[in-house]
Amino acid sequence: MTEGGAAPVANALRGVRVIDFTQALSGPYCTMMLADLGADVIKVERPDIGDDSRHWGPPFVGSDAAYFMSVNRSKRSVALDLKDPDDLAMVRELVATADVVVENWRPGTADRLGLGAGDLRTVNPRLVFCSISGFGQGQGTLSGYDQIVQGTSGAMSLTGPAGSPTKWGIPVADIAAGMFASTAIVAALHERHTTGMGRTIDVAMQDCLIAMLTHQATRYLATGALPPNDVNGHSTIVPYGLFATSDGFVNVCVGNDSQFRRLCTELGFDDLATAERYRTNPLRLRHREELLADLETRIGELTTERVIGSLQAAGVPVGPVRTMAQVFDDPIVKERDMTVTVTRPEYGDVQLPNGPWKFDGQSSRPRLPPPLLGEHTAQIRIELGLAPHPPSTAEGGLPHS
Amino acid sequence: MFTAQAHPGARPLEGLRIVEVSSFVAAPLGGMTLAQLGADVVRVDPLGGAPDTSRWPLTVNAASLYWAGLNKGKRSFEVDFRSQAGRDLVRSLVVGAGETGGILLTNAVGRDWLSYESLARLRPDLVHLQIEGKHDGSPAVDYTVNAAVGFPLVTGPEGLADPVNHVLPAWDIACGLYASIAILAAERHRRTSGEGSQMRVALQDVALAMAGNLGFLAEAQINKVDRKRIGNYLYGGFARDFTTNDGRRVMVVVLTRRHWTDLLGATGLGDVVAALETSLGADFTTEDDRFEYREALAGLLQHWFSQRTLDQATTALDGGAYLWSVYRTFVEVVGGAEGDLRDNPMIGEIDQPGVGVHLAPGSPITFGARGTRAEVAPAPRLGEHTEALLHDVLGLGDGVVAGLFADRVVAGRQAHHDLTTDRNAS
Repeated sequence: MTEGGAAPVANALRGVRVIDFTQALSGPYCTMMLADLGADVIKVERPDIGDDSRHWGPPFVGSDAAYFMSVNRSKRSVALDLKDPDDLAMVRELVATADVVVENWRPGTADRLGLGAGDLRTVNPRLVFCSISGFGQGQGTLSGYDQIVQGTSGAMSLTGPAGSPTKWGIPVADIAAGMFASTAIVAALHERHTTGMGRTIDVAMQDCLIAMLTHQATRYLATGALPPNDVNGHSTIVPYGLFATSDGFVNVCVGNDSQFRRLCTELGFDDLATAERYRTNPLRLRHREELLADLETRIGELTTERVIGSLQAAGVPVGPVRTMAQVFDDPIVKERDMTVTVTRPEYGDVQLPNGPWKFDGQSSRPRLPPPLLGEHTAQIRIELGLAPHPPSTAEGGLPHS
Repeated sequence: MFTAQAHPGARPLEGLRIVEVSSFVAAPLGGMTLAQLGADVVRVDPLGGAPDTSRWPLTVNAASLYWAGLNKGKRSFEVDFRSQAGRDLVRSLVVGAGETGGILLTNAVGRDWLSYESLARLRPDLVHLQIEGKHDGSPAVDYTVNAAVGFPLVTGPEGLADPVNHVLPAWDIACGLYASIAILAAERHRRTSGEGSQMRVALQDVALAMAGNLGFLAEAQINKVDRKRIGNYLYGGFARDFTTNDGRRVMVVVLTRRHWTDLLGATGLGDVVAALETSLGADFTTEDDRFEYREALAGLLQHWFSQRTLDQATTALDGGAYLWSVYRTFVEVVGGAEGDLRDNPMIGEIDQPGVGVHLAPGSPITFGARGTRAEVAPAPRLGEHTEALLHDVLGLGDGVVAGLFADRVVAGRQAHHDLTTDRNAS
């Protein structure tokens, strides 16, 4: 793209073609990450209906739901009927030109359609084939919806008030699966440079959330004891968590004893700063209930601004609890390019949250807005050396003889 | 026959592919300018050709010399603009063809399927140049732009009340050249940044820009001057046409003191002009005074010409620093002085299909100390390269291509590959 200079934008996967059979969120999130990094992602969708999530509104952005907008930028859409032999033949031609296939059908569906890893390697031996499912390939047809998996993975049991399992505010199982899948795909592409062989990757949403249980799981596996629910605090660090102020909330994280003393001094709690029973973290953990109750009362009398101002100045980790409006109004968020604008036909500009990485100081930029259903069918047919439209739908012409 | 190697350096745009959906002057000239520098310019026309296909002047065979002149060195793709399949082929032709493709030059209006917004959704780094009439997108042509911008009311004989149009479509020409510059600028930007460009050039803006650049608009604003016609005089200097006693016309231009001194020497008018200077208290070594008393000075010079034939005047004027030229007709340009034309290295002999063998210009730009230029190439026949482009650029197979011809989605020459005209094929 450039002559004699670093790539101007984060297009490290430029030249990688991904055939994307996924819909909803987990798979589309995976392929959006690849697209954000420069891959040519071709989204194969059912004619007339397309990705289910196009209909998951309101709100709608023009013809498609905002939900769909959030995870489909920089992709091209081709509308194909996988039960139609001609369309299926085109899919196989498309796969022959590709590096990666991603699917999130129910386990077994790919093979039933003749689009499993084994089938597709007959047209493209180097293919990296990634399946995303709720519980893994070969695990029957359990539905892998995010809500279900947040429960089955243990994540909900660790979230929310004790006795009241709570779902994350974002579909974390879907997103985690998308992120783990994209990492695995990039690793397989890297490996292929030396082996010349693709890989078959099986990513399950439940596995992804279990992999994310980290210290909670390790503690349980080491001790056999169920971890207490941290709610908005921390089970082994005190004080560490959410406190109500007179006009809102703050998060305060005390990482060491010095920070604890500064916290108390800055907020005028000198008696706590010098109390022997709170001198170290093990001591504070032992007196957790008493200390937290005391701090909750005292911080509850101060304003958010006072707490944050004082603690920031003293170097004690502290932060506000913000709404979406406050987040996207933050100059840092703007400076970090954390939103991108795409333009939808007959709708106008739409803002989306951006990919988080910076490559040589450059953030990702969307190359394309989320596609209309089948928007690129003719273009991709021509790229494959086919007539722009199947003969039966060619306009203004005599039938092909 | 031409090969790139025979003219090293003369085709710097070799490898660049530009699709042109155009008609008339500005856009075709923009494309041809790039083609003459080596770009593979594909002119795309609807079935039967665009409205300029049959524009005058025509040959007895009804071939448009205008079209032939403005499309030299391009390839021609003829396609049904009304069918979805035809539009998709054109769109693929625009957006495809690798890193050096994805460039559209067009003056087509009201075609959403060729809009930047629509094409950039197929290729994000698209370079798209739209030529339009006015900056707000409303229509205008050279003649209406010219009327609106002021020149016809200062052109022509002094005292005339009627507007005088110039025959040269100056704004189309400048606009076409701006268009080619814009494309090169955007292509450079794309190479360094990866970003495409959406560009517009309005014909009327080109005219207004030139009126401003040349001081006409500032003179009206700052000096409050309502410029009057001064015939063939040069505003603010000394220049005019003169008639010899055998009825020939010459244009004489004096810009500097040296020009003036030489002209007085050559014509022997030094003494009389000096006397005139003294009696008027003027100094004709300055442009201001030469312009102020232009009629008196031109009267003396016209008297000098009217006593001489063109041959005698030529002998006397030969060797001076001032600038002068005989007025010639186009017939004289190509006829009596064809030697001049033939001797000019920019001019080449081409065999234009439907027109015949004639002398035609290549690019006025030369390269290197030896003044290298690309050889002059003829214009294509309509649809001459349709099949080659479907095969070579779009990569379509024989069966698909035959189907597109059979369905009249495309038209043009089929089946024979003429290698001499497919030299740009990738």
